[in-house]
Amino acid sequence: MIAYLDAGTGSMLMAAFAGGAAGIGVLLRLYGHRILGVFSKKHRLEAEETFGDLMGKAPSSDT
Amino acid sequence: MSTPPDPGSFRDPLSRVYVDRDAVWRGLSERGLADYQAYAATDAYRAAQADGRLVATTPVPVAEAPIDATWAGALRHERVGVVTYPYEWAFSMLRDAARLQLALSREALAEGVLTKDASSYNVQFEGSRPVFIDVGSFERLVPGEPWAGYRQFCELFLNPLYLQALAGVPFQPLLRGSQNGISPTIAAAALGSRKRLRRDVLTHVRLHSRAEAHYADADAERDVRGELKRAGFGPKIIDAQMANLQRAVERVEWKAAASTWSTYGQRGHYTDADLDAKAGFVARATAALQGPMVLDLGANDGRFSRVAVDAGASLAVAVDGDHLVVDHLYRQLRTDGERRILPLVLDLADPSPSLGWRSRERPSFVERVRPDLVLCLAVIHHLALSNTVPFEEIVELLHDFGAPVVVEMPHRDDPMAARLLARKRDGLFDHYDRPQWEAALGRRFTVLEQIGLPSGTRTLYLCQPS
Repeated sequence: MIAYLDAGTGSMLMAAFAGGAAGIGVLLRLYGHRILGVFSKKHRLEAEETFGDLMGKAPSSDT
Repeated sequence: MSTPPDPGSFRDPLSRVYVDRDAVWRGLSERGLADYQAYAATDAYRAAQADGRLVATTPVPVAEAPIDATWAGALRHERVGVVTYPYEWAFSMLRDAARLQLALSREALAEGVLTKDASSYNVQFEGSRPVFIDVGSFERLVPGEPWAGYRQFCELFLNPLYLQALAGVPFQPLLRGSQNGISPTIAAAALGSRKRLRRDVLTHVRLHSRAEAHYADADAERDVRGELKRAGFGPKIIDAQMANLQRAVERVEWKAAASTWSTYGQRGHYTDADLDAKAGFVARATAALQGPMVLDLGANDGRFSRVAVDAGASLAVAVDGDHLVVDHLYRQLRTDGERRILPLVLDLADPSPSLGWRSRERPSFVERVRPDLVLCLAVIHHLALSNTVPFEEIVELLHDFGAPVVVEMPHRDDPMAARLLARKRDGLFDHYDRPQWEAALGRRFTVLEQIGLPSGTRTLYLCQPS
């Protein structure tokens, strides 16, 4: 069922962000494949991209 | 027989509102009816009905309601005395409305019912008490769905409060300027670097606006709703989010400096004899009517609104252009437990126009507020001299309300009028005198009674529109 208000993708993700520990857990699962791999270079790049996704910055491409 | 639906109620396809003289009626679609029944079965609903936080509501057969026969269900709501909008409220009123929205939403959520939106227009004030009027806003919770009202809550409650409290930007002109309220992007721009690291501001304003900008085009390609659901989004998170918003609302404080009028309540320029004479005159005019609704223009600290309700008025709408004064009055009324006075922020020289869809969604102040008696005390000299409105135009405004008026005219030699006249160039306001005022008044009103105040520089009139 779709609500009559269009919540907007950004607002939906913020709903999870503002939703305490459980909400952060959801975000981690959403972006987990990227965040969990911070120990390898490949995954570090993906983690930066994830951070960019969350913070609204362009992913870095110079490393 | 069906009355036409209210022009301000079309946004939710599941229900529609019809207003007649006796009550507010709501037509519900089949799904809307099932949602209502789910909510009505909760303890949250019963509690909110019992303590008056939710407008008194009774289900009725469709055939007995003056609505289209095609609706699956019908509700009857009590009418609110005077309909007002968030752009006429003071800061503390909007904050109490936000508290009510969150409290009712959380209580319902605990029993599997969620509000589908979070608009400050869903709250009205019964005197000084906020009442939630949109029973159609509650729906059965859909597991895994985020709260659709979050963005709207920020736009129509939280961001206006932030702008006033943190940046000193009055929210009323902005809410009057846009029915959708203040977007996260505009709030972020207006707040600038103020409190940028405070957690609630960071989350609800700065990150919210960034996330919106970043995902502006993502809606079509990505199924974030589905992704969130698969990642375990649920009612616990919505409850935590609402608790987070409650903390933000409790934290936002408007530490205002004293405004021009905030010491006016002391009324150093009046003698006690003048105040007593005015109070007696207002009380007599009120008592002569049957439980009238009184509109007090330029109410300031609400002194004469109190006189009116004590003399038998069922409701006094206390209007003033000074936001801080109205905020003080509201908080004082809440402290005193005085519920018969409704304070509003309104500039008489620029009252709320008709707004929204086809300019019919939100009727203008004069169309909406239909008093049985108007008080216009210590206002004429401000309109005539500060706002340079001709006497004839002031009289037309009073006449627009279609009710008897108690109006006070400060003469040229009155200390307050003289102070305003002293700022004007010689000769420009020679028409400001008692004979010209009485001539203008006499063209549209019949004067029933008039008295001079003991100080000798002001005259009070009780007059009837002719």
